[in-house]
Amino acid sequence: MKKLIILLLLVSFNASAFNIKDINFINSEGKEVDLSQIDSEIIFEWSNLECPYVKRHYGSNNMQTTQKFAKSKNVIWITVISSAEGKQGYIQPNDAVNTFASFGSFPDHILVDKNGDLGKKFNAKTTPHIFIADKNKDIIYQGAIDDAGGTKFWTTDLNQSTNFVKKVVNDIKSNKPLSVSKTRPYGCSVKYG
Amino acid sequence: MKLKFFIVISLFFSLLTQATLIINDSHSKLNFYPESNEINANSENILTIEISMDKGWHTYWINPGDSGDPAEFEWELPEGFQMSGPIWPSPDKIPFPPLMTYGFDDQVTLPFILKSPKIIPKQFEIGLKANWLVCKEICIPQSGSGKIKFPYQNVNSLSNDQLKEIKTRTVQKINLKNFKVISYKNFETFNLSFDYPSNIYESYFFPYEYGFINYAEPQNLSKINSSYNLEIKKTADSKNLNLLSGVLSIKTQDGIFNYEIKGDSRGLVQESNFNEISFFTALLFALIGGLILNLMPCVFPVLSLKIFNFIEKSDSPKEVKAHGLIFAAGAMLTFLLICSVILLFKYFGIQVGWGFQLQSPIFLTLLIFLFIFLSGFFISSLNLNLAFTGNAVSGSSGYSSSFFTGFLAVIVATPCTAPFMGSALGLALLQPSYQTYPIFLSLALGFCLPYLVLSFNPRLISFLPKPGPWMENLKQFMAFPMGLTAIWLFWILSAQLNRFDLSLVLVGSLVTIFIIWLSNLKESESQVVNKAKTLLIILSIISLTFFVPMSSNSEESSKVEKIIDTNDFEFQNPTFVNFTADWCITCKVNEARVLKSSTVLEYLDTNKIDYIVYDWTERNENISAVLESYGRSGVPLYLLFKGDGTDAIILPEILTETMVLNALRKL
Repeated sequence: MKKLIILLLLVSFNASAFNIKDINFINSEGKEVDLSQIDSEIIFEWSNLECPYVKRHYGSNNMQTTQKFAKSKNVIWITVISSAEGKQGYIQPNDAVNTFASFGSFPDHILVDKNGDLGKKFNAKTTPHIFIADKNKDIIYQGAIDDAGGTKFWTTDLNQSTNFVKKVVNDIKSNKPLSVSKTRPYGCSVKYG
Repeated sequence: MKLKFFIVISLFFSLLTQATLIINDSHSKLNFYPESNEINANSENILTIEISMDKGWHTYWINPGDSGDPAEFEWELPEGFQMSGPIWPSPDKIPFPPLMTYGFDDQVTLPFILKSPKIIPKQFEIGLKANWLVCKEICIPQSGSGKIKFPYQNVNSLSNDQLKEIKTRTVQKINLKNFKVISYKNFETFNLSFDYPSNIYESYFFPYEYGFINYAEPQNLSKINSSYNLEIKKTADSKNLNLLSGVLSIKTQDGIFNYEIKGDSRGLVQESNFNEISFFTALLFALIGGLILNLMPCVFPVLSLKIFNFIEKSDSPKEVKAHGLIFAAGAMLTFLLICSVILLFKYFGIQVGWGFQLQSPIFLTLLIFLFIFLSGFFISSLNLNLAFTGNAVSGSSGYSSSFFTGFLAVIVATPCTAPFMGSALGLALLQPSYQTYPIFLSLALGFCLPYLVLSFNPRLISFLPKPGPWMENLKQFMAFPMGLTAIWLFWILSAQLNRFDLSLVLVGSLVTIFIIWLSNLKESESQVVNKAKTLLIILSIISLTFFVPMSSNSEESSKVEKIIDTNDFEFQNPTFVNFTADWCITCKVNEARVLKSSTVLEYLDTNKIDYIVYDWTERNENISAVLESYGRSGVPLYLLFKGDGTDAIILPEILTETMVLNALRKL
C-alpha cells in the first residue's frame, strides 16, 4: 500500500515547469551534448528559416541581436529545427552551421530534430518558440521571443518591441523574480512529420 | 442575437450589393461587400470582407489555436463614424498533428458594422489596411490597403453559396438550456453540460482565449437523457481562468449550429468544497469507513459467520491465515469491480453516484429477495454446504467459500455505505482513476482489517468464546437483522413503485421463503418425490424473475421538489436546502432528530427562511449534477443560501440542532 501511494505521488506529480537535465542529443556537427553537463542557463530557439515569422526576426537582425546578448551574459543558445525531412525549414545537419552563419547567427549548438523528438518533448508549437532553462535545468520561461505577436507583427519594428528573452536573462542574472514566465508563442506551426 | 440575425437577413436581401475594393496578394484575394449602395445618417450598416484563398490554403480564427494569427483590419473613417468587428464566424478545425489550429479553408466572410453619425457628408471615403496570414504547409503573410468611396458603383455581389456559408457559420447568442461549466481545480478537464432538443452527432468547443485548453486533444461528448456533457482537456494555465468563453459548434441531422458560450466564474466551479479533503485524508476516511461498515446491520450477520469459521478452525492457525487472506482478496476484488462498473458508467456518460444501485427498483428487489433468503436461511436448520456460510468442511471448497464470503459481504455492504461516506467517495469518483482505485482499495482494506488482524493473530481468536451450540442460536438470531434490512429496502422501494408492483415484490419474497422451506424438507425415500422437489425449487427460482418490477412508477406524488435548475442554482430569499433520499439513513436521522424538530421548524418559520427538499431517492440527473458541483456523489447535502447571490454555506453531513440554529442565525 505504501509503495502504491508513493507510486501515485510520482504519477500525479505534474509540473508545468519541466526539467531537462536528462536530455542529451547529437548536434549538427555530430557532437554529443549532455544538458546536465552545461553549467549555465540555456535558451532554446525553435527555428525554421523559411517561415516568414522567423525570416522577419532574422531579416531585422532582432534574433541575432538577442543571441549576441545571451552570449554576452554567458547563456548557452541552442537552435532547434524540428521540421521533418522534406518539410519547410528542414536543413541537412552538415549545412546547418554555415546556413545560420550566413545570417550572422552563431548559436552554441544547432540541433536538426527531424523526427521532432525534442520538439514534442518541449511541446514546441511555433517558430520561433523560446524556452529558457535556469542552471538547475528547470524550464522557467516559455513562449514568444517578444511582444510583437499578432498581425501587427508585419508592421512593427521588432527592435523596438519588448524582448522577453532579454528581460528573463536580465532577471536571472540580477537574481530578481522573473517578470514573465509564460507568454503566447506566435509564428508558423512547427513542421513536424 | 438580434444583430447577428439582422446580418444574415440583410445579406440575403443584398444580392445586388457591390464590391468597390479588391486587394490581390500572392495567395489570396480580399473582396469588400457593402450592404447597400448608400449609407444613411445615424444608422448601422453591414460591411463584409471576404478573403478567398488559393485552393488548399487557410487563414485563422480569432483564436488561431497552436499557431498562426487572425486577420487584422485597420479602418480609416471620416469623423463621427465607428467601425466594429469583425464578427467572427465559427471556424473549422485545421489539424497539424501533434498541433491543432482553428481557421477557415479556402474562403471566409467577415462582417463588420459601420455606425454612422447624425450628420454625414454626401460623399465620403473609408480606408482599409488589412493584414492576414494564409497557410498551407507553409505560411505567407498577405496584406494590402485601399479606399472605398460612398456612394459607389455596382461591381459584383455575394453569391448564394457565400450567403449560405455565412448562415451556417453564424454564431448564435442564444443561451443553451441548463448550460453549465463544471471544473475543479485538480481536474484535467472542463465539462460543458447543456440540454439539447435534438440528437447531436458531433460537438466541438472553440475557446476565444488562447492557452486554456489543450487544442489537439479530442473532446468527448457524452449524453445523459437529453442532457449533453462535453469534456475538454485543460492546460496548466487554466487555473488563472475565471471565464470560459467561446463557440460551441453542434452538428445534428439538420446541419451545424453554433452557439456563443460564456461560463462565468459562478458557473465555473473552480474551487470546490471537497478540495479541502486531500487525497490522503480521503484514503484515511475510506479506511475508517471500511472499518465502520462491519457494524452495519446488513453486513454484521454475514461476517459473524466468517468469525465462526475462524473459531472452528482455531486449531490450525495456518488455515485461518489463508482463509483471512482469501476472504480479503474476495472483498477487495469486489470493491474494485464495483468501482470499475461506476467508472465504466461514467465513461459512457451515465451519471451515477455511490448508492446509485438503490435507485434501481430491479436491484432493490433482488436485494430484498437476497436478504429474505438469508434471513430464512439463518432461521432454518439448514446447514447446506452453501458457499457463503463458510462452513464447508473440505479444504479446497472452504477456500472458495472464503472468497465468496468476501464477495457477498461487500455486495450486501454497499447499500449501507451509501449514506455514510458521501464526501470521501464523492472525491474518489470524481478523481482521475489512478486516485479512485486507491480510495476504494483503502475502503476495502478497512473493511477486511478486523479479519486480517484476527487471522494473523490466532491468539486473539482464543479470546473469543469457544465453539458450541450458542453459535447455532446466534446464527438463527441473525435472521432478524437480515429481515430488518429487507424491510428497510422495501420501504425505499415503496417510494419508487405502485401498490401492484409492491405486492408482487412481497409475493416474490414469499416464494423465496417457500424455496427455503422446500430445501429444508427431509429427504423422501421416493426418488420421484425428491426429483419433483428439486424441479419445484428450480421452477420457483425461475418464477422469482416475474416478481421483479421492470420500471419505476411511483403512485405517490412527492411533495418535494424534483425539478432543479442546474444552470442557475441560486435563491432569492434565505433558503435552507436539503438533498435527501429515502435510502439514506443519515438523511433520515438528521431529519427526524434535527430538521423536523419544533425548534428548527419554528426558527425557519419566524425568520422567513425557505426550506426546500430535493429528493434523490430515484435517479435524477439534474440533482446529481448539482451534488457533483458541490463535490458530492451522494446525499445528504445541506446548503444554506443567504439569498443575496453569495455562495452557499455547506453544513456537515451529520447535523445537530445547535449547529443548524447557529448557522441559521448567521443568515
